[in-house]
Amino acid sequence: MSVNWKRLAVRGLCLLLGLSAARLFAPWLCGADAKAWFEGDAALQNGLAQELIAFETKDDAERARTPNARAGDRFGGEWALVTHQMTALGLAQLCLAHPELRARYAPLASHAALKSMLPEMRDFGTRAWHGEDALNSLASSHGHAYLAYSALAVSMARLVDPAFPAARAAGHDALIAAFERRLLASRTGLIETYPNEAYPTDVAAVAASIAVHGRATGVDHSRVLKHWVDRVRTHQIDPNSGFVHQRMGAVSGEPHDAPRGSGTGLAAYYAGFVDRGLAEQLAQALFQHEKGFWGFGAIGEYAAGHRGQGDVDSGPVLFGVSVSATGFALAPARAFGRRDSFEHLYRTAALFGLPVKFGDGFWFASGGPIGNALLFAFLTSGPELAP
Amino acid sequence: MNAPPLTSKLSLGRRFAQAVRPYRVPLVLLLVYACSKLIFFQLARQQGLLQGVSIVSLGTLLFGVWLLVLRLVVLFYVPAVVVYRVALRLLGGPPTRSP
Repeated sequence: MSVNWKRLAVRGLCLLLGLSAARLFAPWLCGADAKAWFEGDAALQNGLAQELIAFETKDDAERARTPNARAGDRFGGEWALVTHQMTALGLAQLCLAHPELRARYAPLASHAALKSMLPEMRDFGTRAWHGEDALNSLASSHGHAYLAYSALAVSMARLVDPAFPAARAAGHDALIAAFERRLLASRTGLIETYPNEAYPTDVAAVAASIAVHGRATGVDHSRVLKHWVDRVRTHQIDPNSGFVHQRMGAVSGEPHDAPRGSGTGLAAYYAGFVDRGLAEQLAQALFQHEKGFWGFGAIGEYAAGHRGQGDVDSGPVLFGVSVSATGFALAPARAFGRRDSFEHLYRTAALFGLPVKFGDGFWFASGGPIGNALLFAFLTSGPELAP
Repeated sequence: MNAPPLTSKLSLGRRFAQAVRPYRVPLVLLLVYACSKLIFFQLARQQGLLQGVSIVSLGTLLFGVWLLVLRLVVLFYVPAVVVYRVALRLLGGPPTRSP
């Protein structure tokens, strides 16, 4: 049997051309909007903002219809809180980036931020603390760090909205004072989220809420912020990977979980509100764990020497990279001007997020409200960075 | 000006059908993907992949998985197979069923 070498060579060449086409087409299509997002394209930002505002309006109507509805479990409550919080953060970031939009978006940022403080949003935390409500136990030494997500949203709303209601501001001041006292009392720079569970990422949100409160009110929080930054560097960062430990003992400072990309990604975003140097340090670790394939980028979830399947924080871990770490890393990539990383990570987000443009709107079809709210905050990150 | 005769129109149509024939699978895939994306988008917005913020609708979720698989096929397989067949045609080989 004779081999037709010419025919085989032609087919080989065609196969190579076909593979090259796939190699170029998929990243090109998925990254079509990456440059515009990186450069702060107003049409895209406003398109996603409008859709999230529409979601908030729909959510208000649903709330009015079923006023006694409660999130079924801890994760349901966390998701609800984070959705309103991230919407508020994204809107506030747009106000900082485009002061001309302040009159339009600041009241909406306040509305979403205050919604994230509603009792039903923090029910999951109250249940975890055996019925102790965070806002009714401000004198307690219990951390309740989960509420820092809402506290940060309110801090940002106060920063951009001169009409923020004074009565609500007083309650927020008291919460910030409680966080400050608890954080200063901690020699590890950690306070509990739930009993015996401390998450460095949540405490980064605590520090961010305090820092932005200072910027909004003029109150000096520099002592507690320096205390936190120092403790993150000495107690919470794994020296080998540069990642923060996902979960730790609040008192002992013993790691209870591996150093992980998802926690570090979100901590880097929150650290940006407090201290650029620390945020850049965390971002550096994050991008050292960036993996690429055919122009798509993703962030490794576990530091070297650690393994796992992922959890509710990271989403599924496939080929060592996680959905959450990849999405969270978009924020420091944009904030610190890492254009290449941003573009690669955005392609992956778009590949799985199914972005759709319709009229003036923009929406990641597979993201749902929480995915879109998170991406809104991360894709507009930058203006919130500490001076 | 006279319209082209019917036989010429038919032969043009036949030639077009013949030229498109090797690409019918990618074309069908593109069509199914476009329709699925439209349906999923409507479902995800109206009914909600996540109802409220956290309750996952299983039907929409499964449809989303189907759409993601289709998306991967359309983004990677379709351009590869179309370029492979076009190149094979241009370089002298007969169109084949698969690369």
